Amino acid sequence: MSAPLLEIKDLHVSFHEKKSKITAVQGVDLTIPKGETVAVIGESGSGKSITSLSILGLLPLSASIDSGAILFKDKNLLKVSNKEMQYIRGSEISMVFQDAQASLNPAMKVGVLITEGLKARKKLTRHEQRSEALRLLRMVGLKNHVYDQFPSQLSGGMKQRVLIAMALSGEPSLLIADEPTTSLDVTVQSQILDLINNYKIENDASILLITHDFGVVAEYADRVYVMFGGKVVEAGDVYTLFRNPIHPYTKGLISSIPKISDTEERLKSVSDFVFEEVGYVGRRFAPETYSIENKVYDAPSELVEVEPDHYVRLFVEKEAVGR
Amino acid sequence: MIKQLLKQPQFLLGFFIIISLLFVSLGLNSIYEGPKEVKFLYKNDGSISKVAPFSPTDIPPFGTDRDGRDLFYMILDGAKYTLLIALGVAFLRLVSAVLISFLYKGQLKNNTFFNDLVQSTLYVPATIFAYMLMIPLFIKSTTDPISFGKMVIIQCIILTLIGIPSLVVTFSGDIKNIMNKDYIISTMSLGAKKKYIYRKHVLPEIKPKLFLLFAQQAVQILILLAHLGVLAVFVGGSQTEMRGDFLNLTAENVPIAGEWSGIIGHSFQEVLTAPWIILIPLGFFFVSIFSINMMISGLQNIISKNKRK
Ligand SMILES: Nc1ncnc2c1ncn2[C@@H]1O[C@H](COP(=O)(O)OP(=O)(O)OP(=O)(O)O)[C@@H](O)[C@H]1O
Ligand SMILES: [Mg+2]
Repeated sequence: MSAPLLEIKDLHVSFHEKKSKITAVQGVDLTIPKGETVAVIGESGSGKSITSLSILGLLPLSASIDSGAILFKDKNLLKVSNKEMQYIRGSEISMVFQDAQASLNPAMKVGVLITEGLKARKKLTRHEQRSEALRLLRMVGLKNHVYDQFPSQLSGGMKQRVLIAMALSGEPSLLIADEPTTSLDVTVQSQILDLINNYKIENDASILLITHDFGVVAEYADRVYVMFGGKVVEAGDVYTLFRNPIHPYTKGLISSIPKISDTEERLKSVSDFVFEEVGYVGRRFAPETYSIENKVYDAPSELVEVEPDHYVRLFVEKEAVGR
Repeated sequence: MIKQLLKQPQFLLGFFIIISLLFVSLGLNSIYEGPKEVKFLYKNDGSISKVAPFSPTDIPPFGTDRDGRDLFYMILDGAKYTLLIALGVAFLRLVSAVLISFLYKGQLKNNTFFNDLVQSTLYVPATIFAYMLMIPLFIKSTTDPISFGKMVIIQCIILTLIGIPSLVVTFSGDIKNIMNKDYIISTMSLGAKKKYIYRKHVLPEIKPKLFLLFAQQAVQILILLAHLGVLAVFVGGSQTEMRGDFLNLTAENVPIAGEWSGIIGHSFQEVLTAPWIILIPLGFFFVSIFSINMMISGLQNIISKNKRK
């Protein structure tokens, strides 16, 4: 593992609505080494997007960061000024969003959208702006005429490419890709992921790849963080995790990758696996959502290093549970 | 958008009426000083047959007021004041409300108290606010004269201020909605500055609504002016003149500017004896409002057409 580019330490994020407080992220620790792809995988609502938006300081107004630190190149991103953050966005860290359709202003031409980040950092003549936009379009495999088109005239895959071109325009050292391929068909999906992967290789950049598809993780990631209910439940490098998944939730995710050799009638879903095991080395897996006892659910838990560089979340109190 | 507007007959007709009124009114003084005041009409033998005010049949097209001033001329002359005040105040209201909304968007974000406060004021007629704010001005001017220009400016500021809060609520809501859209967050993730986002993303999106609100505000202000005229509150203030003969001397407030509401207010007590003095300026208010409303429906056609696209 090379030196970390970004480190998230004990991040807590909550939402305040009317009088209630919802915790979305509860103590996430995450390290992204330079030049590597780190995948965050987990079910819908597990806090993946909120974690990545915290990095860029783009949380919705109703959200607040309660505690933690996000270290990037020796700076705590939670403490930097607005101006500094603005500079970091796009040129150091940028993001490809989940919903390409909604992430492009429908009233603006692709050629304008694609250079918005560049224009924020330096003055461009009309000619420079155009040639830079065309270069970016070529880079993501789009033809020149797309420059004058509106987002509504593009297919889903093309929109996603535009979004990637926008994000890469500032040559960031960290690219956050929040489920960049969810709405695309499989062939387009691998094209898009290859595009991101090539950028990583050519620029020695890091990728934070958010997904809920373990197949994608297996193919592109170096490290994996499995998230569940706002917490990391298992983390490690991709080989270790595939060779020896320990948390039942991880096991469930891995087994639900469809295999060609699968002869079973239906695909397995995560819930088929949850009851098989309850603990590891005499401690219960956390968080235990399948328990009706709230006491267990709210009990303190921690990430335990079960083998070198392989962490699993277990409850702190040792309860006699057989393996 | 401008090109589309030029294809809307309703918009064009309304626009044409307002613009012609304005131009005629602005150019009128330089070519024609206006007819002499006519206080008496004489019979052929030299004896007086009628005394002002004269009805439209006596002195076409619109008759005169009780000072014998030609109403047609007064209306045309006053149009520029009335229309420019309505358009100018509407413009000022919009510009200030947009600026305030952009500047204070952050602070007002969760301020439901402010919203509720503004909502409740929407049910109190604007006329009453304007009246209450302007009366002290007139009282003060009786002891300590305020110049005509200063009076007009202060009154326009009052007219502007009373319209701002509700507009701020509207715009803040719109801006907040737009700023929460995914593509704004996406643009921000590229390092775009707030100012850039306001200018390139938010403003173009609220632009059609700005045109619409401008026209609606102008209508609202015209109505407000008509009401104020009835209450004898004149834009530009009034001066006290002594009228009548020396046996029956009365002080009378005469509006200084020839603005339409002044014409109404000045002669309001004659609403029964010489109704045309009131009805004709009211008619012109009506025509102006109608014209602007035609422009509004033209605008709305375009907005809904663009939305469907
Ligand atoms: N705008 C919001 N207001 C209130 N709560 C929110 C908001 N956005 C997210 N949350 C809460 O934060 C939690 C985490 O949301 P997040 O968007 O990070 O999930 P996710 O892991 O990205 O899911 P998905 O795979 O569906 O994108 C959710 O359970 C939700 O309750
Ligand atoms: Mg998400």
